[in-house]
Formats: sequence, C-alpha cells, structure tokens
Amino acid sequence: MIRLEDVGYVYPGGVEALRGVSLTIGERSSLAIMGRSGAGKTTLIKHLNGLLKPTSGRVTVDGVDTRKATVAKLSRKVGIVFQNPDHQLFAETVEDEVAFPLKNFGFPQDEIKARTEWVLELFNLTRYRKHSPLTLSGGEKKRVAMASIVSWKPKYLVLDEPTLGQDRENKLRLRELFEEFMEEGRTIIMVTHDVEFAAECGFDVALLVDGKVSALGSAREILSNVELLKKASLAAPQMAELFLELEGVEAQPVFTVEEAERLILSRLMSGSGRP
Amino acid sequence: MAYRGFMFKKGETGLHRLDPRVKFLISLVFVVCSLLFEELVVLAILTLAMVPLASKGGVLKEWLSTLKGLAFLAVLIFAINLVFIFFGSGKSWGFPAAMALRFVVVVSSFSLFFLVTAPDEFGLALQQSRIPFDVVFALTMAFRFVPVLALEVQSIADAQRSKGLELDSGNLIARIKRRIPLLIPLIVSSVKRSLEIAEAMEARGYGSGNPRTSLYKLNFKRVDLAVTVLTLAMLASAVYFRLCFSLPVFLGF
Amino acid sequence: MKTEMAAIEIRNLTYKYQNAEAPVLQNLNLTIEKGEFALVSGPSGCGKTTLCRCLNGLIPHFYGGELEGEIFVDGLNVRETPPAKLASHVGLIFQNPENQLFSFNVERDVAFGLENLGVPPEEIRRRVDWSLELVGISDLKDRAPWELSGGQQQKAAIACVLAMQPSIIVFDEPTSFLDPLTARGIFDVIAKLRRKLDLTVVVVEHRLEALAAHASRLILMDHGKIILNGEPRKILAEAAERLSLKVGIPSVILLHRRLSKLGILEGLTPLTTSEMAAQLRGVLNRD
Repeated sequence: MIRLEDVGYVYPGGVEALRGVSLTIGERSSLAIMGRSGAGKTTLIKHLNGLLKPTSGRVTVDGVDTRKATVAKLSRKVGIVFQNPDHQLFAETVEDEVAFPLKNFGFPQDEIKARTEWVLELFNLTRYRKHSPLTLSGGEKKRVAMASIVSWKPKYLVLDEPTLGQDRENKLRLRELFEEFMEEGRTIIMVTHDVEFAAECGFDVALLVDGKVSALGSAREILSNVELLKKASLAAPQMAELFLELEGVEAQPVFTVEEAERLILSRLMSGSGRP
Repeated sequence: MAYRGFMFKKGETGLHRLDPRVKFLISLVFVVCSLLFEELVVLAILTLAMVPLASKGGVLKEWLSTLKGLAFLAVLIFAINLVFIFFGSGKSWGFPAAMALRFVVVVSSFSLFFLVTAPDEFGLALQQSRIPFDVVFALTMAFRFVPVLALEVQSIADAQRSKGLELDSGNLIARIKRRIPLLIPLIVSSVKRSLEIAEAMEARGYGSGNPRTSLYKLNFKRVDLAVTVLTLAMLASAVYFRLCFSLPVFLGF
Repeated sequence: MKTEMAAIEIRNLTYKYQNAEAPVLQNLNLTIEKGEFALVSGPSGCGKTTLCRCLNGLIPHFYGGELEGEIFVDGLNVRETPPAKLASHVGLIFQNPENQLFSFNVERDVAFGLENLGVPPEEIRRRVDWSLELVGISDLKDRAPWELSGGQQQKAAIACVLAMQPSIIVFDEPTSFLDPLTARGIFDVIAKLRRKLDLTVVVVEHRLEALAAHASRLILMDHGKIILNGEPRKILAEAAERLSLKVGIPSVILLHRRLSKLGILEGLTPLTTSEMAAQLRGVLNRD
C-alpha cells in the first residue's frame, strides 16, 4: 500500500506544486491521476519512488517512509515509466536497454536472460532485440521504455501518459497488459489525459487541481461530472457528451460505444424513447 | 543551480532600464579595478560596492547565491596560490587571499550584469556594435535554452535513477561510467531539439539573404550618458590612485 | 513565375531521407484548392510530418535526400524556391511549442521572421500587433516563453507565423503536447483565422472528433501513401469500416455504423454529437 499523508511539495525555485495531497493506493488497485498540465501530476508520481521527498507530510510505500530509503531501493517496488522515452534510452541494443535495470537491481545472469526474453516478447519487440533503440519509431521507443520497467515486475507500476501517440491497436494491447498485471496482484497507476481510455480500463480516478486532489472516485462517477472535468481541463468522452445532449444532466454516464449501443437498444425495446 | 546566478531576472528598476552597454561598462570597470589593485581592502570595497547595486536591481538574493557558489572555487584558488606563492617566495598570505577575492569580484560583477540585463537586450547591444547577427543569435539562444537543458538533465537523471541507477556510489571511474546513461539521452535530446529549433528558424525566413532589420533600437538616454560619465570618472580616479600613490602598507596587510 | 493554380499541388512525389533505406513518401498525388481546410491523419510513421516539411521547403532544402516529382505551393515550385522565400507564402506550425520560441519575450519572437525578411520596423510593429490581436494574446506580448502555458506558447507560435502573412498555414500535430480542452482552444483559433483571413489550412491531427466538422476534406495516410482522400463524412464512414484500429475514428461514427447495420439509423454519417443526437431523437421519439 502506498500512502500519501497531507503531502506538500515546493520546488527549490519556490513553486508550490502540491498542497496537502492525501491519497491511499491499495494493493491490486488501479488509479488514474488526471488534471490539466501544471496541476502537479508528474510531481506527485515522483514522490512514489522517492525521487522527490515531500516538503511537508509523509509518503510511505508498504510502510517504509520514502525519506528513509534510497530511490534504487524504492524503485524495486515502484517502477515508473516516464513520458518521454528519449530521456531514458541509451544502450546499444534493445536487449541491453531492457537488461540495464535488471543488472542495476542485481538479478542473476540467467534470470536477466529469461526476463529479457519474456518482456521483449510481451511487448512485441523480439524482432528488434539487436537493433539500436534510437533507430525505432516513437511508438516503438515508448514500448521499449515500458518493457525495461515491466522487466523487473514492480509491485506498483506507474506510467506517465502511456497512450500518448499510440493508436487504437496499441491501446488495446496496453489494456490487456494492465489486466494481466492486475491479475498477478499488482497495482497500476497512470497519469493520463485520455478520458476514454481511463473509463474503458475502469480505473479509479483522482482529479488533481492546483496541487490538490479535488475529487476521487470511480471513473464513472468522476468522468461523467462535466463541471469537474472542466476544472481539470479534460473533455468528456464523446458518448457522454452525446447522452448529455440527448437527455440533459440526468443522463446516465455512458463512456463506450458498446454501452451506448446497449442503452439505445434497451430504450427501443422498452418501447419508449424517453428515459 | 549554478547558472541561476547568471539568469536574467525581470524587473522594472533603474538598473534594468539602463542601456545594456552602460551596464556592461560598469561590470568591466569593476573587473579592471580588481586587476589594478591587489590590496585586500580595495578588493573588499569593490565587492561590497556591488551590494547596493544588486539591491537596487532587486537581485540581491540571486547575487548572494552566486557569491555562495563561488566560495568553493575561491577557497581553491586561495589554497593553490598559498602553496605556490606563500611557501615559494615568502610573500604575505595576503596575496593568495587577494587573488581569491579578485576572482570573486570578476565573476560576481558579471553575474550582476547578467542578472539585470535581458539577454536579448544584450544581443541587441552587440548587434548594434556590428557584431554579426549569427554570432549574437547563437549567444542569446544559449541563454534562452540553458534552463531548458538543466530541466532536461533533471528529467533524464530521474528516469535513470528510477531504473535502479545509483549515481553517487563507488570510486571515481565507476561514477563516471555511471554517467553514460545520462549523457547519451542528453546528447540525443539536445540534437533533436536543435534540429527542431533550426527547422522553426528556417520556416521563419532565417538566412533569407535580405539585409536584416530590427523592431527595436536601443537609444542612449540622458541618464545613460550620466552614468557612463560617472563610471568613467571612477575608473580614471582608480587609475590615478594606482599610478600616483602607493597605498599605505597597513591597507595592504 | 506565379501561375494560377491550386494552393497546393503535388504530383508523383516520392521522397527518401538522406541515408534512409526506404522512401517515406511514395508516389503521392494531392491537390488542395485555395480556401480549403484539409485535415490529414494516419498512424505514426505514415509520413504526415514529412509531407508537411515538403510544403514549406524544409524538404529538400534543409533535409536534402532524394526527391522525385513536383510540389507547387501557392504557385511556387518548392524545389526551386528557398524556404525563406516560401515563408511568406506558407507557414508551418510544429508539434513542440517550446522549440519554436527563441527569444525572451513573445513580441520579439513574433518580429523575428519579419526581421529576417528585412521588413521595415514600422511595418513590423504594425504586423506584430495585428497578429497578436488576431490570435488573442496581445496581453502576453511582454511575457517570456517559459512563463506561458503550453497552449499560450502554441498561440504565440501561430502569431509568429501569421505575422509573415502567408496564404497557407500548415499545422503539424499542433496539440499533441496539450491537454484536451487547451487543444480545443487551439482548434478554435485555427477555425477563426481561416474564416477571417480566407486562408488555406492543412492540419495534421489525431483528434478527429474535434476537427472533422470544420474540415472540407479529410486525407488519411498510411505507409507513405494517401489511402483515402475526400469529403470527411464519406471518408470517416469508410475508415470506420476498415481502419478503426489505426485511425482514431470518433465514437459517434462507430456508434452510427453499428446502429445503421442493425437498421436503426438511416441518416448521413454524423460528424458531431449534435448531428448524432438529432438522428437518435428521431428514432427514439418515434412512437
């Protein structure tokens, strides 16, 4: 369990990025952190593995205060995939890139080999194993970056904007990966603007506004609240907007095309179009 | 971070409004004076004289942080001079101290200059002094993107540390080797960034071959003239002092 | 040598970057008439950005490489016209707003292009004020780029290009660094400029749902080729059928498709939620 207790953070330049964030992220849970740019989302996730230590308040990972452990030690449990893959790819081959953290964490040689193979396969990267990561396309680089973190199977997997620049097919694959991970008892935390993806994955949502958690709840609850979304500079999913237009504020929260279809069909069956 | 003491801080003070060339002259006079004298007291006065200037420009905090940042290097200079001169020639320990303080005056006077001078104003001044625009532009761009690069280094270090990289353990060689995962992404992103910047410049007619015009023109105001005269007068009296008087021994320690 | 022709005319364009193995664009043909709003989309790596670079002369003048075929923009042959000259005919807005602003305040940046062209200072002043006003950021003119939000930075970049008074503006994924509502703000600016200035606009974008209704034409690319090109409604209906994994088809269109297949809806493919709502109301309220 990761607990943030009244966490405040002020950057050395004086910018107050977090103001009293309290949040409990349980085991086997999935949380989307959403909000406009500059709301403090990235600052928040940097607290989860101790890259940043709170200026006030406390962060604990499975009971360990992040102030009292090294980043390397915490990262073993909390794996963070940052937004820009260019900021981390450096090895000569994709294979070495993925093996790098495993070596850092001191995995035995044969384990490194086995895990590298497993994760390259998982991310559909096996054919690039001998390529330089720098020659890959943007989407592929993002997958390498992700693979290198998934490789050590952190208990908490944190991703910053994982769907940015990914097409539908890759998003579906990502969702499958999340499900697999959660089945193994792991926790997923992602920062995203992608309302439809968060809703589709059924994550809980923490809405961050000006360095504070302004709302916390299920994706359905939060993402159907137009007022809340506006505050966080998010656009409601198109299906939600459609039903809002059709049925006004009392509309049921609808996120996906499948749900919309079902709802319309049931309305037609019941013989009355009006709710 | 160290570069902060050299980053322009916006302000509306008299010092900010002064023509950048005049501000440059003031800094230069500080440097020249520090080279003229090796007496500790004079160098100390020069350093202290910058305090009211920095405070008038509203950058005292930043300027003091430069001083703090210089402390280590100043001590190093002191130590080296001490070893080579004090023990070598039997000269007073005041000389190594003066060398260290001289260093502080030179660097902190430039720090003060850059703190109150917008780099593009500085660029404009250079441009109007007929320095080629390409050179001036490269210089101002460096200022513009230093903070951006510093942030980038931070992001890269964060990403690698999150993958178990420990930067500060082991011997020197091991530590240097461990910088490679930082260095390569930094080079890659910087190259990418400069390419993007070059593209954007190209798309806005950079190097069109037409003679370049400028929206702004620096104009030398009356107050600029007055400050220039005053500064030059101070320089002249410093030179006069140096040449015609030898300072009493007790002042020089 | 300016001749009366379409705003953009590309004939049999094939392009390979220097040292690349395979061409990024293959035998591409495209005509965009004056005053059109063309929306370009496709999976990453399909050649959209390369196409943008061909339109303002970065290709071949900046990038080199092997270019075959002809590109005419605003009547100028791109191959023979240096980018600096093309700059006052066609403007290009890039993805990353940060790397398009070089100065320490917005006004200076907007002036930069005009200074490069040697425009007299009074004229620069007039045009800088005009373009800042039009984009709606006059109040930001003395701000430094790092004091601006991503959306404001991108608006500043648009003002920079606008000041050069091009008749064509190309936007290469202008909102990919921005959050969804900020992105809508940028789209509003684009739509407003086009209306007011009678510009030809080309926008490369993934967020089709926000732009499809504005566009007069939708172009879908894949593997360096144009695979679909035409009226947005028609193209989206077709893409929903066979490209939904690669192209972000707006949900209303997917829903419309499903309901049409069930025989519930018969109307035109909708581009906005309002259009879809109107159709649904018709069905749901029928007794």
